[in-house]
Amino acid sequence: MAKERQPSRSGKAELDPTQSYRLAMKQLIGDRWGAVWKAVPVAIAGEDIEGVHDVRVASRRLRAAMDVAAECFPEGWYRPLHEVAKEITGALGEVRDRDVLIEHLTAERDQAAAGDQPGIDRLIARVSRERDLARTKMEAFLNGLAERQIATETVKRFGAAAGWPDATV
Amino acid sequence: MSRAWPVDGIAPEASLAINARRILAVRIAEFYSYASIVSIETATEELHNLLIATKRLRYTLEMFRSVFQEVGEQQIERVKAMQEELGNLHDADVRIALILDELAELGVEQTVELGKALALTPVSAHQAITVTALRPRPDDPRRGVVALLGREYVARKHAYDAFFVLWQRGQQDGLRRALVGLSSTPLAGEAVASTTD
Repeated sequence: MAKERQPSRSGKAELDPTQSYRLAMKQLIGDRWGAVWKAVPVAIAGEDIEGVHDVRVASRRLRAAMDVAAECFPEGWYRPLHEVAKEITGALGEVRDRDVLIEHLTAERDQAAAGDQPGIDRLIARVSRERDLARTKMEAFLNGLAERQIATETVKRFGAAAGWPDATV
Repeated sequence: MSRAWPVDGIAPEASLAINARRILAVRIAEFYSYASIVSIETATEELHNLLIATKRLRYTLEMFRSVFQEVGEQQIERVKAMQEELGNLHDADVRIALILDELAELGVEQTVELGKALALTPVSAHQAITVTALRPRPDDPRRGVVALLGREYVARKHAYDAFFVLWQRGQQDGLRRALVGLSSTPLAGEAVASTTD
């Protein structure tokens, strides 16, 4: 029987080093899917650019775990979920990279001499257009995940921790 | 983006600790495979790949915190510091590429405008137009873009220098030895650890 996981200093349940790798990765991947779903609503709301960043970081951590656990689970259902994890990182990266760029360029503009501002404004306008396009695609992608019932699948495969925080799946 | 090095020999029924160390060994090898390009400041693509390898190494250490414990925590901090500077370097490279592209686009736009102006004005006005074309107006957007380009190269240089100092410090302080130690130190009694959970 699996040992109960002890909370770490970060507050998250810590994995038992002596438990089987398969079981540990099931728990870990489940927790990491849960972290992704928890961060998604803030990213979709779009009021705080850190929302996109949080989903991206969570999806990267999820990928890091899924990249090294393929041998532990049946390929038939594991590979599609692994692909979704990669898609999430990619879809949000396009937005995040531009959010960071706009923030940097805006700070540069604020400090630039008046004669230097038109050029930086032009750069900001270009990146903002690209960002709006990327954000539209990202929102469609994230809403599509709900339609494809990916969270239901992650709960089925990795347990309740892999679902939406308030879900009653 | 470079693909992660595959980890052979994952044993699902063996302990987490055994597999974690196997994964860490591959991530260490992947990270140090870039050692030969670290001193090449202009190796933009390879330094970006090193950034990705650094993230993979950090994520592995973080993912298996319970295995690597306090010594692992110390290495996370060292790897994270390098990752941050490599990230700053990459961000500067992205901005430099954007600015160079924008300058090229501006050049094309202004050349097209010059051609139109010359085509639509009497020959007597051409000399004045060409002289003006060689003297940017006060509100010429290239002014700010070129100034920004200079600042971005400075930011890139600072990020690279900061990373290189951290890399050398890691060499001197035994980072590699510490990481390899983590990837090879068995837990007490691990050989008989349960594989039937």
